[in-house]
Amino acid sequence: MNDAVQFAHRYDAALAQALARPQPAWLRRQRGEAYARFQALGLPTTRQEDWRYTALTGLERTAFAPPERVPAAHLRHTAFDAVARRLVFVDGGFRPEASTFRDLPQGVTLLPLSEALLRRSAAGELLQDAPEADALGAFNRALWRDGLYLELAPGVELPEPLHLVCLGTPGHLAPLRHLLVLGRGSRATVIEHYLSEGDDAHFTPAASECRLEAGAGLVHVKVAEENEAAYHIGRTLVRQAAGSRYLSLSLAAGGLLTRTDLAVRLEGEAAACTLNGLTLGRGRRHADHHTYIDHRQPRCTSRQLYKGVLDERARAVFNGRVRVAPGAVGSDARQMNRNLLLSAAAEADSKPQLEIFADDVKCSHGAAVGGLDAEQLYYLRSRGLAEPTARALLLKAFAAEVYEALPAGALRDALEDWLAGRLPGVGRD
Amino acid sequence: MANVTVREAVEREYRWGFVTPIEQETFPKGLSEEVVRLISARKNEPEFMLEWRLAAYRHWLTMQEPTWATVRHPPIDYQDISYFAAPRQKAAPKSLDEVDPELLATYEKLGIPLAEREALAGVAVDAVFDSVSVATTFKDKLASLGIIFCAFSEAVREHPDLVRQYLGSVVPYTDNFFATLNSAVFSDGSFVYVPKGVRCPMELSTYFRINARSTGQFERTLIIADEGAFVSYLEGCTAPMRDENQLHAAVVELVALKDATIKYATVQNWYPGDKEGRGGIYNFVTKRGECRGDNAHISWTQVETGSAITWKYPSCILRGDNAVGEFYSVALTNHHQQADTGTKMIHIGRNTRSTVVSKGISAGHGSNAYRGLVKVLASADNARNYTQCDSLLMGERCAAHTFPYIEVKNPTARVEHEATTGKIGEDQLFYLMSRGLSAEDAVNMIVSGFCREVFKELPMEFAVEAKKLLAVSLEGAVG
Repeated sequence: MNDAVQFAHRYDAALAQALARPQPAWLRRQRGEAYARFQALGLPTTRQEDWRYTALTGLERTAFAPPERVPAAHLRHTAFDAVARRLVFVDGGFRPEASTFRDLPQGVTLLPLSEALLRRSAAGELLQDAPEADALGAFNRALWRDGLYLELAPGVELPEPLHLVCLGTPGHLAPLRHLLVLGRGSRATVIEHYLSEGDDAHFTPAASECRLEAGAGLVHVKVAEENEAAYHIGRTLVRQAAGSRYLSLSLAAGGLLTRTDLAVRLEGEAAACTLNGLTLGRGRRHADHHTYIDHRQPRCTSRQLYKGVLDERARAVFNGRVRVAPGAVGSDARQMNRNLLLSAAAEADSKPQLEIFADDVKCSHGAAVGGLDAEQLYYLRSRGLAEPTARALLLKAFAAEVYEALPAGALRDALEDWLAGRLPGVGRD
Repeated sequence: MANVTVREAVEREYRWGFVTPIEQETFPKGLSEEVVRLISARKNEPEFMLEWRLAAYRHWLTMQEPTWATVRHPPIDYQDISYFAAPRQKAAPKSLDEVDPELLATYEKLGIPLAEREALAGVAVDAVFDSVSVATTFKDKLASLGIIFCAFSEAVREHPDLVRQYLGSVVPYTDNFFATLNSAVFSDGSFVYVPKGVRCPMELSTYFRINARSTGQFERTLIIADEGAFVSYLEGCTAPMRDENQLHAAVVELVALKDATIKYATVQNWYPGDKEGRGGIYNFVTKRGECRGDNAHISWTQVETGSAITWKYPSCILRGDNAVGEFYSVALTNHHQQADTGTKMIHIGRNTRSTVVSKGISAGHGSNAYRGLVKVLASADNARNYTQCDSLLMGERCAAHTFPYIEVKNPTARVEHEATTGKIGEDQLFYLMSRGLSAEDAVNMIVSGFCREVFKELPMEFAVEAKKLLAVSLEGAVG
């Protein structure tokens, strides 16, 4: 059997395990159908346009299994401990004893998704309303173990950022599914944080779905910093009603292969989203950001800024698609992708796309790839800075633009500290 | 122009739609190995040419028609096309006097006064009437410089070594579905060879014209600029009105050796179909140039206003060090026209530079897509690319898309891409109209400015024609 055929059946046991857990009948059916769909579609190949620059051959050859029991969490200190309460998942399963979120205000429902489906009918309705999935979406839909369910009643504000710590352990599959429902005018900040235990390969397929009712606001930070052997395939679908605001910050700073798909549907008038991303590339890391913003209603605004700092043999892919539907007049979309190549073996591939079906719009995109500007370096050195210091300063400034979209405060400071130790190309001669 | 009403201008009938009733020799419809052999025999081609055609045909049989472009059309029946049509003539003409008067009259109607142009415009015209070149002017003058400018079929017979050396070296017969089809059945086209160090003293020009009903045009053009040579080539087209869709699958290959420069300009005005989108030409073209030596320079300029569907990507392979590639394009789609066009810039040599300026204008139900690739290989130290593609939308049912691909594998490269999409600003219109301009003139002026960067790359006479072509479709598209 070839790798693809083997892959299609490799997760049969994982499916059996997923079906054996307590859950509503419709979910079992959904899992079975999704698995069949995944088997029929197979893993995407580089012949498919959406996977042109990202090969999954390594993933195809490696076997990952979900552990029977959720392993204990061996948590170290993370950058966000001081600014957020946390929920811990290990290999896709919930570890309540490691979690610190308590004393929730009125109107906040916070549960593991598996439990929410048994207790809240709204959660089930939303999951059943999911659009048809592509191969890896179906894979996730079939096998997910657990995840976050957050529901905010109208007008409620989550007092502190919520920090989801998602750990993967060696050789294991950690399939997660999160569902965030923000009622009218509610506010929340959520950090999805993906980490590894140990240095061996593991595989995290993660799917998040966010619903923003009219006027709701969500700040959604995703930090993927798994170990150098890990595979991460994440996808987020955001649906925004009128006047809602969504801010996404996606930081790809780990993994052998990190793929992030972010789709935003602007379904109500004057909704706005800002999607920022940063790839920190070193070693053989391959990070792929795909975004798709669908302007379906008039007067929506979208902003995108994706950047990459690529050293050694790292490769960054950006594929940003903006669609303006017929009738979505007054749409305002901007998109920018910038990559810094620091080594001769690094590579950046960029595919910004605009698809416009309305005339009264303002849309633009830009892309730039290059090395550090010699003149800027010279300027700083002529002011007495040593070369490593000058480089570090330029790189820091380059990266800072990405998180400056966050409101000033403890979270932004924490991110800045987190980034300081992780910039590639800093501290070299 | 200002007094023409909006509706009138937009709905103006295709001016150059007429059919010249000339006796034609046409093969029965359909494609087979037999037809390929017949084409080759009919043109007295040497053995190597037939072998090449057959190899292409056999390869074509294994290929699938591509579907990735943002264009829609009913399936093409390749067996319902006649693959060869030649105006019937007793013997090859030695001068214009011997050319069929009907044919000359057609050119008159088109505004190509072949007889006058020789004296007046200083342009050598290799007029392609359907598939066979019927008259070539200025041949002697060019010959004295060692420049070969002739019909492709003539080059195959007279200069087989050159053809053999360069044919398919930029666009191999395996390249893509339509290029492969062309390689098997190409009818005729132009051949240019400019020897070492020679600067071609005049603009070389060819008018292509589709005339016979249901005859696909499979032009093949090959231009070689030897070391240090310079040539500027103009291609322009008009086509008669008819209802059936016609397939036009041309191939253009450019080879620029060390220090050579080739400038290739196109004004494309094939029949675009009627207001409802019926009829019109399918223009599926493969155009590619290779800067094979150091300091070579290839520049593509195109103004695309015609065809029901335009699908082409004039490209540059920048192999030599310091090579330069340029692409300047205006594509306009009105009514139900569709265009998917752009360029590829492949940076291989060191210090290679490329510039891409693309202006798309969509009106009515038109759909306009820019699709381009900028690829910098690891070997291309200090490569530089600048790309700008702007879209102008007129009307709420048109569409504009931008699909650039950027692949960079060298840290010393600098690649920049910018794209904007929008409609004509109300403030701009207001400003011009407050200065006394009519709405139509204001729109024309703004569009003219929008396209200026491209028009200034065109030779003078083409720039004038291009502006006129745009004006016809643009007036009143906003009102």
